[in-house]
Amino acid sequence: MEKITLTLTNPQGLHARPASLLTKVVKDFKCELYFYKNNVDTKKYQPKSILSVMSVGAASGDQLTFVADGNDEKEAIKAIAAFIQSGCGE
Amino acid sequence: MGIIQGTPISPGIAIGKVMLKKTLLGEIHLVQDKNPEDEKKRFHEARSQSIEQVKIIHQQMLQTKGEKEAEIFIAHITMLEDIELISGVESTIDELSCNAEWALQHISKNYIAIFEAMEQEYMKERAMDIRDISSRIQRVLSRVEASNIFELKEPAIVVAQDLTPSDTAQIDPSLVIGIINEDGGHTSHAAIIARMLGVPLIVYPNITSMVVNGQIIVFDGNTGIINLQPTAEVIEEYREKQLKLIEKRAQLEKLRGTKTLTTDGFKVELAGNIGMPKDIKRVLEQDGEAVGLFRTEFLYMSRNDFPDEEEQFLAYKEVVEKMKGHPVVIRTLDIGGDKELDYLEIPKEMNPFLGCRAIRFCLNKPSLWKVQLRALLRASAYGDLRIMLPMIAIMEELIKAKEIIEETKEELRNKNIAFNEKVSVGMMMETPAAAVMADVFAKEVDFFSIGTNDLVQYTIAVDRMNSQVAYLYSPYHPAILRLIKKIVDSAHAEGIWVGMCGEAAADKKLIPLWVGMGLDELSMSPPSILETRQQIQGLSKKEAEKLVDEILLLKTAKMIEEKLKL
Repeated sequence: MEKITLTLTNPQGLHARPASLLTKVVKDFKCELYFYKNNVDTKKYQPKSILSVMSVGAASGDQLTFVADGNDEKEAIKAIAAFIQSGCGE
Repeated sequence: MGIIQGTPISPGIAIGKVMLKKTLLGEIHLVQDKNPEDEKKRFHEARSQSIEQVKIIHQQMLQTKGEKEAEIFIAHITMLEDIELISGVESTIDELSCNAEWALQHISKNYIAIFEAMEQEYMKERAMDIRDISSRIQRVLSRVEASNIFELKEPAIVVAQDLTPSDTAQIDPSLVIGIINEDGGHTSHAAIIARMLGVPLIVYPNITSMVVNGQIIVFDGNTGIINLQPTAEVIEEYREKQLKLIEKRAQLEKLRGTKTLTTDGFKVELAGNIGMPKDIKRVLEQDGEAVGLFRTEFLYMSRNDFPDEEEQFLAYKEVVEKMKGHPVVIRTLDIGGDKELDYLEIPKEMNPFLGCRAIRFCLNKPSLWKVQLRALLRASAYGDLRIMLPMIAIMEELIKAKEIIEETKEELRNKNIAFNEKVSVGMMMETPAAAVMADVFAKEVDFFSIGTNDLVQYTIAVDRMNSQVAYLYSPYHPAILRLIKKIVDSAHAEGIWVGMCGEAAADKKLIPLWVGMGLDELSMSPPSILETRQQIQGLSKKEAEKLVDEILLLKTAKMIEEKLKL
């Protein structure tokens, strides 16, 4: 299992466009994926779903923890980290 | 009677018959004992058909309204393919053996509730997108034609509870005279499209129960006033207002894409003032040729701590990239005076406007200022970014500031981080000391930008917040105009450009003077850009020069203002 916590930096947070881009980033990974906000791991979100990602209501400065479990877990976490750290393509 | 006040969203006058938007779908009931496999198949078929429909709308939008407006439909397609939506509907059907319609409604209601409960207006409005895609699937399921609510045979005012993005995509501005909505704010999709198409729009709660089909009403999208029972005189009055607005707008629209040249060929660059990256849209909408003032302090306000380098870099880069090679003048942090930060303790000062503000503050805290400079320099690699220093009063400040900029450049060089080696560095002309010494400063910077608000306040020694002395505050004061003339001449003697970014830059009475003096750039709030272009295109530089000579001989602000009225 791989796990990483990242800080959201793009000013508008995870609104429609970055959410849609995130779903594209993770689309082809086979591993189990989920994430949660600000260490509240009881409420899990699905990065492959734009509705789920948008429903997080994540704003700039929020901490997002991504968890991946499966064959390509390392690659998945790497791709997600690169995407979030680049400011979600904004 | 019958006059109500709504929220104005998109300007313009509307006079016409009401067309209430039909609600197309009946209530959806839970039907059980269905075959789950059949219902899931129906759901998926309806979903694929919906995706095809949205793809077509997306194409139409791309062709007729542009990329930005079409983007929302890409998001709709992603939502229609959403795995959570699909698995939610499927498992509801499996659990209850129910109809696809009810399962879809059940799942979409959940999401709508989540989004409506969000704080940001932007996210709230995403509830509308979910309504839109789910009612699209519902229509396919119930075989209601993908009907066009704007199937208007004659022009009408559309009155609706709300308009989905799909609805607004189909607005034909030759038939939709105006729109009154019950929901939606300034950033709703309907608002953006309405403004772009020039369709007046007002939001008024409960309006659908206050009017009937065919009823004649009038409203003013500038003020938000709706008259539900206009008399013949009122209609006539609105008709006149409308004609005037249409004429004015048509004339201004023609100026889009034209150059800002005087009749004798002198060019002025018309730029927009912005406070946040999102404002760039307004500059481009009004055909601004540059950004003449980006007030970066807004990035520092309404938050709990200083914005870090990355956040600032992204903001500056966004603006520079969106201006596609056109100049973007960014003023470094200008706080103090009337601008405070919640998270920064600034000791109380007797005279904050004369105290530790702007460049004085930054030079006191170089490590803090360097964060901004690094972000600015990095963003300079993406376009024509220019750095502007506020409130310079003495040469030592300018020298020190330039040293810190050089140090920052050196740090970036050592780390192999890209930036524009030749980035322009200019200064605001807003202290009388700098204005008087303009010939000396002109040798040390790449440009001047005259900040008239502070220049007036400091030159006439008048507090612009104090109403008792407001009569003194005037950009027409001959001292101000002489100083400005001196600044412009000094800049041109050294071959650097000089602009203006205070309120006076868009003052109709003063513009002939700015042209006559030869200001190279005027930066203003975006809605003034096209009007200013229109005015400049009617001026002759030669005539304006004569006017400058005459004006500078006058003794008082009042005499000057009177003369400029003529």
